[in-house]
Amino acid sequence: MVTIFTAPLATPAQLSTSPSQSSGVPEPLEQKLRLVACRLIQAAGILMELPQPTISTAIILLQRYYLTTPLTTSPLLQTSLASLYLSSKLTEHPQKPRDIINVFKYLLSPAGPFHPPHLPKSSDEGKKGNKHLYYVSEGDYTALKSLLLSTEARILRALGFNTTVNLPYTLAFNYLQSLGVLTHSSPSSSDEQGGLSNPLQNEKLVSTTFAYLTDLLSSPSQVYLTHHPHELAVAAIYLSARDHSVKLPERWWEVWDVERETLGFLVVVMRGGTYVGQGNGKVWIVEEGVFEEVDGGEVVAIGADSVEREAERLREL
Amino acid sequence: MSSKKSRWETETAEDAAEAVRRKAEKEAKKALKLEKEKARKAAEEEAAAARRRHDDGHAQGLLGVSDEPPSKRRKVSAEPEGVNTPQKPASREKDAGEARLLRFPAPEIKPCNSVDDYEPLNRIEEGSYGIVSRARHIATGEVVALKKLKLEGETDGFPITSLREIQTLMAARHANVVNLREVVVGEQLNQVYIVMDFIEHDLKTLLDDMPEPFLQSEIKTLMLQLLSATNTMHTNWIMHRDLKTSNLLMNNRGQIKVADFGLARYFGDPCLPLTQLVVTLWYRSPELLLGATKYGTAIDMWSIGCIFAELILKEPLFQGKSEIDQLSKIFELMGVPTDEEWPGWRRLPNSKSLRFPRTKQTTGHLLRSKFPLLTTNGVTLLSSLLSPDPSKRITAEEALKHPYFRDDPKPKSEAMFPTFPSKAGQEKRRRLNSPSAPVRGDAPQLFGEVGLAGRSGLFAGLDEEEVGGGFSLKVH
Repeated sequence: MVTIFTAPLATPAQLSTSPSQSSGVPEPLEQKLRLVACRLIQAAGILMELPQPTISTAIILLQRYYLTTPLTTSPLLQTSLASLYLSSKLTEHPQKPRDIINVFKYLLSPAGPFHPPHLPKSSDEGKKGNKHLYYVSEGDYTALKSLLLSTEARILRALGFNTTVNLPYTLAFNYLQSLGVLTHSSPSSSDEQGGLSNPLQNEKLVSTTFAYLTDLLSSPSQVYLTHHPHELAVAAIYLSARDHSVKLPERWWEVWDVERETLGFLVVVMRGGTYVGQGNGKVWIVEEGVFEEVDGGEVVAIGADSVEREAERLREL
Repeated sequence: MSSKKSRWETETAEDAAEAVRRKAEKEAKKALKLEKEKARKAAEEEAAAARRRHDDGHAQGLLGVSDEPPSKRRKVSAEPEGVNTPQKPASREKDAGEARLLRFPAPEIKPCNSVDDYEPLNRIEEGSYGIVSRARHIATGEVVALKKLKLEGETDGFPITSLREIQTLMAARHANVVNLREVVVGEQLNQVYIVMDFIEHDLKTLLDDMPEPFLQSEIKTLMLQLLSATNTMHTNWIMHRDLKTSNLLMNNRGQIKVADFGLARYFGDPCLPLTQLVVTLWYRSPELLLGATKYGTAIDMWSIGCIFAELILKEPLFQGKSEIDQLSKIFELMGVPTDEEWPGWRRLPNSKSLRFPRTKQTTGHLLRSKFPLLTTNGVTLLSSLLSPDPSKRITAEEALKHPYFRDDPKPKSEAMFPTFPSKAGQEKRRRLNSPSAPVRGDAPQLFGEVGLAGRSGLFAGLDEEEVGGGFSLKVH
C-alpha cells in the first residue's frame, strides 16, 4: 500500500476563496501574516530543539487551518502555538504547553530575535514596569494555556481530525539514492553515470535538496497544500542537482510520475523565494504595534487589534 | 533565471518551461540508467494502481476522495523540442513520449460533521477509553458504531493516545481492520466521536457463548485474516499493542475486523524506548513482562499466538493473575528459556529478581500435549508465534506463508461461515407465531446429545427461535 497519498490536499475551490479575505483581510496582509507564522514556528522549533519534521508539520497544519478559518476569528499567535503543540504530539515529540508559551514569549520579547532594533526595549508606560514584556505571569499562563488547548481543539475540528502530513524529505533522499548520485562505493563507475566521486559533494546535494524543501514551507504559493510530496521531492532534487552541476538521466522525473509541467511550475515557485514584500529585507515581528517599513526591513504586528487596524488601513487605500 | 528576483510572479511559466527544456537537452546525452528505471516504474505503477483501487473502496466518509483530479497542470507538450537523442531507438522514444503518468487523488481538507447527523440506538459497551454505542446515520439510514472519547479530565488538550488512535486507524486501511468513517463532534469542544462501521460481534463474546469451538477450517480463515491485517499494520509502521479476542470484531459474513487502536502507535527502526504498560496481561509477551523498554512488532505476534490458541481452546491460553503468575504460566507451557534459546533474557530488568527452576521437565514446550488434535504444522506455527525470544518469533509476513494454511482441511470460504444473533445489535432471531412445519426430523435429539442443555447468553433463546431458512447452528 502506498501511504504517501493519504494526506489531504486543498481543492481548487478552497484555494480561490480565502476565508480571511472574505472577512476583510486583504491578500498581501494575509500572506505577510502567514509568512510571519512560519518564521515564528520555525524559530520556536529550533529553540526547543525539535526535529524539522515536527516544525514542518506544524506549519502545514497552520496553512491547512487558515484554508477553512479566517484570521479574524482565530488570531495568528494562538494558532501558531497550538499547531506547534499539536504537531509535537503527532510526531511523537510531545512538548509541555508551558515550554511552548515561554518560548513564544521570548521570541516576541524585546530580547528576542524579531524585535525591531529601532523600537525601545522598554515600554513607555513606566507604571507597569517592563516585567510583563519578558516573562509570563501565572495568571497569564493559565489564560494562555486554556486558549492554546481550545485552539488545538478548533484546529482538529477544522481539519476533520485528518492530521496526516506526509513530508517529502525521506522521499527525496530515496530518490537521490535510486538516481545513483549518492553512491560512494565505486567512484569510477558513478562518474560515468554523472554521479559524484566526492562524498562531501554528496552531503551538499542532500542538504541543498532539503533546504529547498524547507524554504518552500514559507512560500506564499502554499504548494504543500496543493502538491503531493513526491512532486515536491522531485522539484527540489532538480534544482539542487542543477546547483551542484550533477547530471541526471534524461526525463528522470517521469519515473516518479511527475509531469514536466508540474515540475516547471514547482521550480518557478521554489526559485521565487519565500517572501512577497519589500525587497529581501528582514521581517521584524511585534505583538501589538504598527505595520511600518524601516531601514532594511519591515515591521509586522501580529496582535488581533493591530491586524484589524492594518486591514482597515489597507481597505481605505 | 535569477534567484534575486523578489517577486515570484514576475517569472512566468514560460521561463520555467524554457529552463526545463534547456536542462532536458543537456540531460539527453546520458540515458544509461533508463533500463533499471523502467522496471522500477512498472513496480511503482503497480503499487500506485493497487493504492488507487484501494482508495476507490473507501471513497466515502472521512477520507472521501474527490472525483476531480488534483489541481495539477495539464501536460501540454509531450516531447521536449529539439532534443537530441542519438542513443535511443525509435520505439523507446515513442514509448517514452507517450508515458502514461499517474494522477493521484487525495482526500479533501474539510471540517468535522456534527454528531447530530446520527441518531443514537443503544449502548454497546463502556470502557476507560470511552463509550461505544450503536447509532443510525439519519441521511443514509446506515447503522454505525459511535465511540465517544473521554476527554473530560484531560489537562493536556487532545490526548496523544487518541490522536494516535485516529491517525493509525486512518493509515491502516484493510478489509480486516474496522473501517473508520469519520470523526464527528458535538457543540462542546470536548465532545468528539469516532464513527466506525457497526460490526455485529466480538470474538470474545462469541467464543464464550458458542456451544463448541470453531472448526479447524474456520480457525485457518480467521487466522489468515488476522495475520493479513497485522501484516498491513506492521508494514505501515503501526504496532497495535492490544490484540486480544475482545478487540477482534466479527460480522455475519465470516470476516473479522481488528478494532480498538487505543494503544496503537507508530514505531521506528531502530526502536526507541516505549512504555511497557501495553497489551492486556493475558496476551502480553514475555519480553514486556520482563520489563524490556525496547520492543517491536513481535509483541503483536505473541498476542496473535495467544489468540490462535484461544480459538482452538475456546478459552484464553495464559490466564495469569499477576505479571509474575503470567510469566510462570508462560514458562510452564513453553519451557524456561536457556541462554542459547534466548540470549540475553537474563539481562532484562525484571528477570534478575525472578528465579525459575531449570530441570529437564521445564525445558522445551508442551504444546503437543496441550493441543493433541492440532496438526504438526499447526503446532510449529503456534510454537513459532509463542517463541519466548522476540527475535526468533515469526513475523506476520512469514506466518501468512506457513504450511499450516495449505494443509487439509483448507481454510473455509468466508461465505460459508455460520451466523449468530448479535448481542451488540440486540438481536434475537424472530419466531413466527404460526404453527410451524415439522422441524428437521432427528435434529432435536441431536441437540440434546451434544450437550446444549445448559446454554446461556447468546444461545439462551435457542428453543424459541425460528429454525430453518438458510442457516443453522453448527453441530459438527
